[in-house]
Amino acid sequence: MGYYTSLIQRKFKDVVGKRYESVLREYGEFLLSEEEMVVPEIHSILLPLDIFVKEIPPSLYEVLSAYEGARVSLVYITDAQVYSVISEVLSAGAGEEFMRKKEEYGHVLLNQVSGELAAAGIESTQRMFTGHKGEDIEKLASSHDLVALAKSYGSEKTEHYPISPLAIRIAQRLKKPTILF
Amino acid sequence: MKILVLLDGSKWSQKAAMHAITIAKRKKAQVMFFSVLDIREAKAMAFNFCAQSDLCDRIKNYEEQIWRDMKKSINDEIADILYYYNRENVDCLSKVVEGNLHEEIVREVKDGGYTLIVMGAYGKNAKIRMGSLFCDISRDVTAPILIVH
Repeated sequence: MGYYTSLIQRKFKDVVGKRYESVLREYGEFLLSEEEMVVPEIHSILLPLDIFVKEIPPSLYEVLSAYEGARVSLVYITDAQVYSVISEVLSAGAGEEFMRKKEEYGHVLLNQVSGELAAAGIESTQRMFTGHKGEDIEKLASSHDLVALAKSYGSEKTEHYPISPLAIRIAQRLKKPTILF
Repeated sequence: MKILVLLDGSKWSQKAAMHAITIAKRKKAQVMFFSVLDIREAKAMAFNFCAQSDLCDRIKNYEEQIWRDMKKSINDEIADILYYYNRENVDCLSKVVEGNLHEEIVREVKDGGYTLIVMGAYGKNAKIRMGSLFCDISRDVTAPILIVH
């Protein structure tokens, strides 16, 4: 007898036939259906990076390596709004300098994480662009099976705020399995 | 590798247990199923039911009954999951403690040396926004947390 069958028999042993169907319909929010019981296959993993992500803990690589054959998409995003504000308030040159420094760090981080993933036997691809750190990750997540999100993604961690508000917001909005590290 | 799976009787924690088995099998990990029973939950359920039904003289009886049922329910659920995991040859253990949810989870994570924590995205109150428990735990632990939807 499978886990699902034993669960249903234990909880609904007195509710049979049509009554059970009606319970499942009306209380679906609380009840696991047999369709929902399927463990999702993980083939693609989204790993967002930005200036605030300084390093990836080895335990994350260990966990990701459990998804055999899965490919990791490394995405480094520079905030378009910050670039725009710097360019408008200071100068176009200051904006370009901001972008150059961010991208310089981005390349270093992407190569570092890509190398560490390869050492753990995980294939990866790299991408860097300017955009919205929250909305773009939500869009990209829709074409991936799992998201691995740093607690510091979007802002520095502090003693009072050990998780970035943006990371919390993204984790709350995603409908995919998410690893917060 | 050691994996901590948080169970609260919700459909989301049942999904979390199912997701964890993939990682456990691949990494030959040991899995700990952990559940915290908080008497305040039984008190709240008893109070709300009795207050709405004008049955306040029976509140203590209801509370005791709900508390007994909560214990039985989580133990039955863990027994089902252990049976399933054992059949899949996954090394697993279980622990049910009584106390404050956040404090007990953080204590277990710190004492247990876990590589990964797996939890459901929502609790027993259906699919409202992902809860404060997730924020509280992720604030206090360093191990990666897998949130299952």
